Amino acid sequence: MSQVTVSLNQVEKTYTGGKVALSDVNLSLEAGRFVALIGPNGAGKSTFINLVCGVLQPTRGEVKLHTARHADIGWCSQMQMVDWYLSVRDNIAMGARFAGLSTGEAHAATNAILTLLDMDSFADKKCDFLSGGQLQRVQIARAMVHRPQVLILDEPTVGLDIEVCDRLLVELKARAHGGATVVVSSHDLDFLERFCDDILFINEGRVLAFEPKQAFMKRFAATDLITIEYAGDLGPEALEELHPLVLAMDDVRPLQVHLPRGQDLAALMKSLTRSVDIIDVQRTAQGLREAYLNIKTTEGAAK
Amino acid sequence: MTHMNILENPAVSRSRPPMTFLRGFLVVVEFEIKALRYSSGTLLTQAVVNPAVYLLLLGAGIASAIASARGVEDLSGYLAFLVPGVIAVQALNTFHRVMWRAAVDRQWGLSAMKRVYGVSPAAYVPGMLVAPAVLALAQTATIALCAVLLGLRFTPEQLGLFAAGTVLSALFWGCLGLLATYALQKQDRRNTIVNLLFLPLTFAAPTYYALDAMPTYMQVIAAVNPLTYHVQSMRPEDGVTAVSLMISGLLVLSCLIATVWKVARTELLSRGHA
Repeated sequence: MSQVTVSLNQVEKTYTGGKVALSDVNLSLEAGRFVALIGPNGAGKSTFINLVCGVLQPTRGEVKLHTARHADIGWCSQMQMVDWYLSVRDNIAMGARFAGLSTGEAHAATNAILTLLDMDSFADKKCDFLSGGQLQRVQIARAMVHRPQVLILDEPTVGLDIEVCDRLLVELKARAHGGATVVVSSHDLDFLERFCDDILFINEGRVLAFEPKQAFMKRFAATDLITIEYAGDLGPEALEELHPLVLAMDDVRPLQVHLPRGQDLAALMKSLTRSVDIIDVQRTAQGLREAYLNIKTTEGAAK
Repeated sequence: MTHMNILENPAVSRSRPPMTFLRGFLVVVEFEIKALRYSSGTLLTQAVVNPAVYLLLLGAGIASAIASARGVEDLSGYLAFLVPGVIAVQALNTFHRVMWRAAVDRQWGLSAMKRVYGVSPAAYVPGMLVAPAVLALAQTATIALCAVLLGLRFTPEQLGLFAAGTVLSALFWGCLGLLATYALQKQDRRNTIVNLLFLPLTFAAPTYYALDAMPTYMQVIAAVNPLTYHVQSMRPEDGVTAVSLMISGLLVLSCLIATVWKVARTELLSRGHA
């Protein structure tokens, strides 16, 4: 049984000046899911996030929160949303206090998130002395500190080192498994692929895909990349012979070809060994990165 | 797929208090007070040094000059007249302070964030005014203390009028600062208005000299200058004080309503932020 936390019904957002940022968005976000929000720059991802958070109003349609209160949303924007006249600790505690935690609870929750994101060393510093990555952590921590039911982070991994990034995404995954809805917009597809449950792909203001990761990958990344190093020369005739055996050929030396995911290599090897000696074979499953490029290509071809 | 309301799930629902007007107001106040204490040097300058300099140097200087011109040694007459003027001029600075804080809030998306947490404009606007009003009261206390050092004595009623006048003045100018921040997008436009208006406002009011000693055109300006009523509400004069207090209160109320209305109507994020 799924629990809807946010639903968007025929949502459209047109900015002053006529630019349509989002159109005809119909979807429901569910509790217990980690959603990767992906798409090119200017696709409408931030508009989507701002609509869900309620800081933008839709031009048409309805965004409905099914949470207890508005404060059950944790929002981390792309902009540097910090109060420069408060310490790091106070900036984070602000999120907890506005969300309804008592002073004591806010203090404890702030300390916990400071440790989680490795911020203890600069907790009492003023924000104007922080690096970009540290400022980013302040915003993320403030969004997460009150353990909201819906957590929406816009490009949270920008400026973060790998260790903190990993720790953050593990925590986000744990929160999703604990019943929260987590939506993360990012171009860091390798990280997202490891942690997300669902993919929400937006391009030019339209939702092109919103489905479980496995279904998305099956649709848009259903091939393996085979890289073969060999000794000798593959002549035109040998290459001609390979073409019916593969989906696509990227390169000749080393030979890089695409096969349907999991397909046996025997026919390919048999054909190759007639002309060259095989030195090494590597098989790589396509990931979210390739799926992203494939869906973009498919979209481009459809126009 | 069966849908169930999130509130039915005990694993994620929370038993936190809802965001009420009072809680929103109090939390805004809490962090504005923290921001006020951000730089102790600046705070000390604003609360103690500036008002002390105004009264001990400018005030005492003018009083001495006047006393000398009249051939008397007693400065207390003019100083007693001047104290409410200096208090009102110091409270005028609330405009800048609130405008600066509100600009930080808007520019860095913090007002949007507060709204996401459910803080209503009706709680946000007065919440932003409390810390600067407290600062203005501290300035008034400094001025009163300096006046005592110069030999003046105040009755509890007079001190009460100083406090009431200071609060009304700070709320009015603070509210106007907030309104300017939301009504004018560009910082340079806000600065231009401040520069154009505030010096004439300061001098076209009975701050440093009596209203009936002004030229007629200044009296006309003073009649529509809110600062006039703030100063007069602190000067114990029969009839004038009560009316000035009432006018000052009405000005605060009108400005508060206009500002809440403006804040509620303003988009939380500009397109640049989205």
